[in-house]
Amino acid sequence: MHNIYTGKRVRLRPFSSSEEYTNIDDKLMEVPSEYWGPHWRPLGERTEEYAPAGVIDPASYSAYAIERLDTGQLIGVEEHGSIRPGVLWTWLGTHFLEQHQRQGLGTEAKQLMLCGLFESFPLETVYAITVANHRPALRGLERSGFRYVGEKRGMFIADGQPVDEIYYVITREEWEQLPVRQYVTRG
Amino acid sequence: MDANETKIEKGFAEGEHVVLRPVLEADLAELARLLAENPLEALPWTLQRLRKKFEDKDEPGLWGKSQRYFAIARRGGGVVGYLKESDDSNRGMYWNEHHIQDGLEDRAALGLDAVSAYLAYKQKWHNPLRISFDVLRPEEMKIDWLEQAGFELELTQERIMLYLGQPEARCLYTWFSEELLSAPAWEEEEAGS
Repeated sequence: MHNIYTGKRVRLRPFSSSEEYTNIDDKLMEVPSEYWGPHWRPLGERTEEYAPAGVIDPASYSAYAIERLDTGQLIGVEEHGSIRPGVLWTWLGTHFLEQHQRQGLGTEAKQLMLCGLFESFPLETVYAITVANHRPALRGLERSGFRYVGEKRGMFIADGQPVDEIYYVITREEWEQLPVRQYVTRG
Repeated sequence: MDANETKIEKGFAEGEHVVLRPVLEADLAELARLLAENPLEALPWTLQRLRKKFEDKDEPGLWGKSQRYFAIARRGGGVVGYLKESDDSNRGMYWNEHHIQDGLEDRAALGLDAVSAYLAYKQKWHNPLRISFDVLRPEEMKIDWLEQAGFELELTQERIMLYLGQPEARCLYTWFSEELLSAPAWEEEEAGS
């Protein structure tokens, strides 16, 4: 099963060490998301998470390093949820350091993750969830091939107000039509 | 107690036919069977798996900080179902799964009673903003209980899991509080802005 996927601008790969994983997470948490708010996970928890399998464990949770091809920098984390027998879906999520956001890199990172998921597991659907006021994320999901499914009303509190969670999906058939499949390099 | 006296179950939530209460060790065998019946459960539940979870050091008794199991018992005794409640750091938001034993003659009445009793319990003690239940689409009886109890279909996720060998959808039914319905963001959205 491949765990390195390379596109035109970014590569997904396993984290090379616990330090690499916790360092990028530290940087991501330093600047609270304008939309999701502050978030903190203690170092010990993340080190423990890395220890068993380098944070790639399809049965529970996986996180990949997103590497920029032009500079070789580690710029973010691509993650997906558990994959279980009889369950035909999982979710994915993308986190970028602020200075690398809004350059279209997330679109490719998501599409590479979709290749990894649909090529390796008998999934029918992959979902992505964001909040209603996060317009860059909504646009990024649509560019990546996802389509709007629906929302959960008031599921998240931002600025003291309930905000809807928005659900996007891509099916296996829809992923099969994406151009990324023609140029992705595996391994 | 008179030998002929029927035991009357007491619970956190009390309906006409059933009560909802924390799970006791004596319930585990029945609960394992009920969990295995629920098509939303992806795990093949066994008594041993459930016992290990029940004896978890950090969150014993199937009663954790973010997830709690209620046994649904007839008022006259006997576990007939369960409700699994989850929440997170956002105040007043709950999402659940539930199951009443398949094939019971009075299953429809028990299910509606359990859902209604649970909703009343949450309203009385926890000031919920929203309460959701996940249901697999073919489970029409469960959907019927939820609709009758005042829940509405909020989200359908197609091709979520296998049910009798076929990909099926999961439906989310939700009850919304007045507080959530009248929140400014909600009104803006309803107005289409």
